[in-house]
Amino acid sequence: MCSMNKANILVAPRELKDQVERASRVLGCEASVADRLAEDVTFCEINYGQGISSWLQIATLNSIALGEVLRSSLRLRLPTGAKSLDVHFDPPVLFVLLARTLHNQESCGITWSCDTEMTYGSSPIVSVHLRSDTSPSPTTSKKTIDALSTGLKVSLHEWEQLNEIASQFLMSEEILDAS
Amino acid sequence: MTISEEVSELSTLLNDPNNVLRPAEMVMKPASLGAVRMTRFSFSRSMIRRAFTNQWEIKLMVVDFDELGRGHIIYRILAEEKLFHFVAFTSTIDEALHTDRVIADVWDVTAALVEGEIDNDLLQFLRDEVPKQELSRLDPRVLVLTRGNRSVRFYDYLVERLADGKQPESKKLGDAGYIMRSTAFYGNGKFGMRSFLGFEDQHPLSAPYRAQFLAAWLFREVSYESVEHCAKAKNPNAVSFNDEWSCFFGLGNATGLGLVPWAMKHPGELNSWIAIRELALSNVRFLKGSNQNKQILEEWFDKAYQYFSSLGGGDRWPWMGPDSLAKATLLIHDTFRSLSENDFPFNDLYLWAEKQDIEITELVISILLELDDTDDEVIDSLLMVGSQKKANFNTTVADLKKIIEENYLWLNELNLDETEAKHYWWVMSDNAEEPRRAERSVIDPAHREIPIDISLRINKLLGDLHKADERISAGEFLHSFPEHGIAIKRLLDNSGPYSEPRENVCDFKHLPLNLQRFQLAMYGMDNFSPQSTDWLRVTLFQGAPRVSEIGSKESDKWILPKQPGGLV
Repeated sequence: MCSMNKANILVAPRELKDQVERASRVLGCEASVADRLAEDVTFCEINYGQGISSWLQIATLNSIALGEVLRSSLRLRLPTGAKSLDVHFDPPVLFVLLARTLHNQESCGITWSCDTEMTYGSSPIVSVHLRSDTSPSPTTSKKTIDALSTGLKVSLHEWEQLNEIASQFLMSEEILDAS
Repeated sequence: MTISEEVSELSTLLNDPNNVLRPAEMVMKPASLGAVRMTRFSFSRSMIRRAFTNQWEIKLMVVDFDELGRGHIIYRILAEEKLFHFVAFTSTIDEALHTDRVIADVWDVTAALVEGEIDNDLLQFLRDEVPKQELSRLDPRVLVLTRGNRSVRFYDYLVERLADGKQPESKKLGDAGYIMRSTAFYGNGKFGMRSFLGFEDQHPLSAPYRAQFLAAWLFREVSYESVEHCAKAKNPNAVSFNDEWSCFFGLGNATGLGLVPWAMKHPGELNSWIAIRELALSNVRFLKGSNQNKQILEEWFDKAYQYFSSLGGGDRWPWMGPDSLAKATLLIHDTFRSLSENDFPFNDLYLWAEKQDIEITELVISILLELDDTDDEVIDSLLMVGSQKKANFNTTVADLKKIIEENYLWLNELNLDETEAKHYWWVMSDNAEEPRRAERSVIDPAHREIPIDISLRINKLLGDLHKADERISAGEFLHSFPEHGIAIKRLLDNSGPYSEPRENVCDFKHLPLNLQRFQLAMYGMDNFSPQSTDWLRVTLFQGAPRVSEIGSKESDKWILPKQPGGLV
């Protein structure tokens, strides 16, 4: 086993979560929003791929657009008593922001489908159909278990880009010592 | 008496009316947490019990040291059919470069615990990466990364004594109980290492911190091996430590502010650690006073007295020191004698202790818990906390308010609207990512605040909940107030009665030592020696058996060792 080759690097899921959270804070996200986004990106990278690249795309948005897009997954909720619901996104939303919430709904007995192809985290999603089901299903995937035990292979270039932004979350020791 | 082996759900046990549990408002007070001591549930002890019970085979495979102890050393561990190696690279650094803080660039010892066979490629990989510590890039074969230094005060002294054919002199060692001092044990996915949740079921190191404590136990072995090697290099006729000293030394450790963010971010873990103690205390309190149980307790009182009095020394603000604890132990012992013929002497002793200084209360609890004999497998299973709780965001605003009223009434006592409540904010330094706290009036947090200000967040959430329609869901509320995500998740996760330290870690009066000591005691550390409000020194594995003793002696009564010769 080798932790790195020219194109990829093995990372632990918690490292990815930590770095996305820090990098999101650097972009100006409030701590709660950064926490949620970090969980979304990590889940997507493990289960669908392109989590980090999607985050790097999102990172280019201005703060107003960023704030709006980060609220997307909060709309994915089947009201109590409702049998089904269609949620539309205009403009389309990257799947990275929806994947974890959708999978979590499965544990509450809600099935889902997207009307556009959602192969990776960067797939644009126009609408999601939620439907009440009677059988909650477990949500810990084999991919998650594998990532925890053997690591998660991600693009080295993307990882370095993410780390560079995340490093700005840390405060200079000199400033802290001088205070 | 034991915690039921048939009921493995912690929440079920906590709700069982047969268990008389202490209320969270008593247990979770900062001063109470800051008085906790090691118990039989502490991780250092449970790790050693597991090693002895399951007959782990630990062998020294390679010692490649020069005359100054520089080189490398490898231990091979076969634990329940799993193979591990502990590999340490040793050096000698200038005394001036020794520091207790997590930040440093070089150390006398750097080491890693790895799973599987060691071949030349892996050894070279470790040789390249392990000495770099925080700058290393590891992979999931590596479970723990650690480092530390020789004791500046005692290492050379011990080498000289053994080289001269003599054992150490107690009076020269003072209260020191270690040869080397570690400054960090990294694991759980840091720097690319294996994630804690990546250990499969039945893995011998799948219990919390078991891998770190195996590494720490072996680090202590390295310290003994190093001193004896250097003594022999000086004089081929040097002696080894005799039986009295060969188990006395532990591993020193210095701990800073990093434990505070950990405690605030892991409510589920805190709840399980504390709940296990409280359930066991409930069981022990209502034991009848059999002769056997009374004798066990008497022996522990004697042991504690011998330990504190041989250690000696004044109080260690904000805590009692060894002299005071020795006196307290005598008082406790006398009190127990006067209660020992009662129907429930252990409960009566506890009720007496509850009215004493909090350190006496906790000292009594730690000794009473020696009477609990809950199976280790049950404890290990109760310690496992699910990492992926699915919060129900359909919960209404009205229900969120109710949760706060029921579980967070204590926030009202913290004066969270006062300026002092926001005096500090928590930040990570760019040096080794060391957590620090900064004064808000001096440095602007900007986007760098570590969100462990849970009390402040829930207080602010409550204010905004009052402005919202009570019928809307938490999800809808979050759409308008996304900044409350952390607080709402905290409420909905409902990690248990013992999950929240009842304090505000940003308050001017917050004393980090309390949460630090609590965690260190859970780990199994002792000899707490605060160096400021923000960091302390401790010792672990002092008195513990050596790895070569697996299978040959009692494995669980090693704590509170009397210093050979004593100081008084």
